[in-house]
Amino acid sequence: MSALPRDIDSRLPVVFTLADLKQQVPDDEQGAMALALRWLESGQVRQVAPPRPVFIRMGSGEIPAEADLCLALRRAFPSLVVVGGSALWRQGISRERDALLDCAVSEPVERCPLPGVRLHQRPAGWLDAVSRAGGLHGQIHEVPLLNAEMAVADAARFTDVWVPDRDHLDWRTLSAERIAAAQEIMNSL
Amino acid sequence: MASEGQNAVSESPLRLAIEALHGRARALSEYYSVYRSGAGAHARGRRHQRVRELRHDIVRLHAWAWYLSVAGRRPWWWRALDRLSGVFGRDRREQAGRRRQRRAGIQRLSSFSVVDRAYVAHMEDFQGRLLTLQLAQQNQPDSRRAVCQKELEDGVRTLAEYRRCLAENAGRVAVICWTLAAVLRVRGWFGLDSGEPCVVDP
Repeated sequence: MSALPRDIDSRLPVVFTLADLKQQVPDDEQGAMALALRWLESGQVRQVAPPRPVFIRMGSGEIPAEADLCLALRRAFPSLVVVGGSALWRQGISRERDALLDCAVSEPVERCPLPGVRLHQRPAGWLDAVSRAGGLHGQIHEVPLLNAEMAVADAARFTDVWVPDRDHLDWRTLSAERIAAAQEIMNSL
Repeated sequence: MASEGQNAVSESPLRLAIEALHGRARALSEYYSVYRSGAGAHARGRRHQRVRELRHDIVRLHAWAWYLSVAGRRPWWWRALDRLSGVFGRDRREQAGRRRQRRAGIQRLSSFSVVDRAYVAHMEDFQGRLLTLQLAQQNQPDSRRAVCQKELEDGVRTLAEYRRCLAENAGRVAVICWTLAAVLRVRGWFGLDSGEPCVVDP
């Protein structure tokens, strides 16, 4: 254990899993665990969403780049989707920018200590229902976005995400019919 | 394997294996939903291929979970399948990783790899919990955490033992998964539920 490096291995990417770390310390699972613990203690890395075994390297006091945040969250949560005002802003429907990236997942979330991100839990089957209804549209750093109507319906149903004021939305691009259909799907969950 | 090794294992470790398989199947189902919708991380051309790969992997996970879940009761079909897998799977060599199928250019994991990855994912979930606990324990020692830590370490050891057992019987796993996955697909066509969320060919 004393032979383990104190500083994080430069061969490891910004976002890595316990499996990646084990590959760097072959045949020594305990060593890999000890190393991860040491880096966590020193604050060089953070667990993306404890207890999930996905880690992100943290610079001193910096907020990680959005691409790294998205990658870290994608690796921790397969059902990750950008929702609420974050989805609306990125689709050009909102003129007001989000301060935090609002994402939803349908797996249990204990906590997510990453700066710049807010995770919201959705019921099991949420992603399947949204996806079947064609409620995903485009992506940001490979994370799918809710389409505008579904984002509005989701925000109204769960009331836990930030959405811009009505005046800041471009209503010409939103279809009332599609919002009603999306609301029906959300209410069925 | 199941007839000898797993019968000797108590109910609780079997539950751990089944938990791992259903957990992995649920995670793959989430990826499946994203891929099927056309969103997410993939090249456009690979979408259908990836959807089929995922569907195939999910059914095999459910198939192996089904096999394990009835191992305690040993119904007649289970005993027959166990014997058949011994005959056809004994000398079969399964390799880890994806192999290319000539048909439709699909790259499929062997059944062994699909199940092994489920066990590894569950093991790493436990290890992630261990790290979280150890970190909290160093900051604020608590005797309840020590008990929890012990349980998690036992879980990791059990899963490691399952992996070892699986590697020794990879051929048999392939035969069992192939057979039960086919049964699950047929059940799906007739609208019969396998008890857990299961994706079958439409």
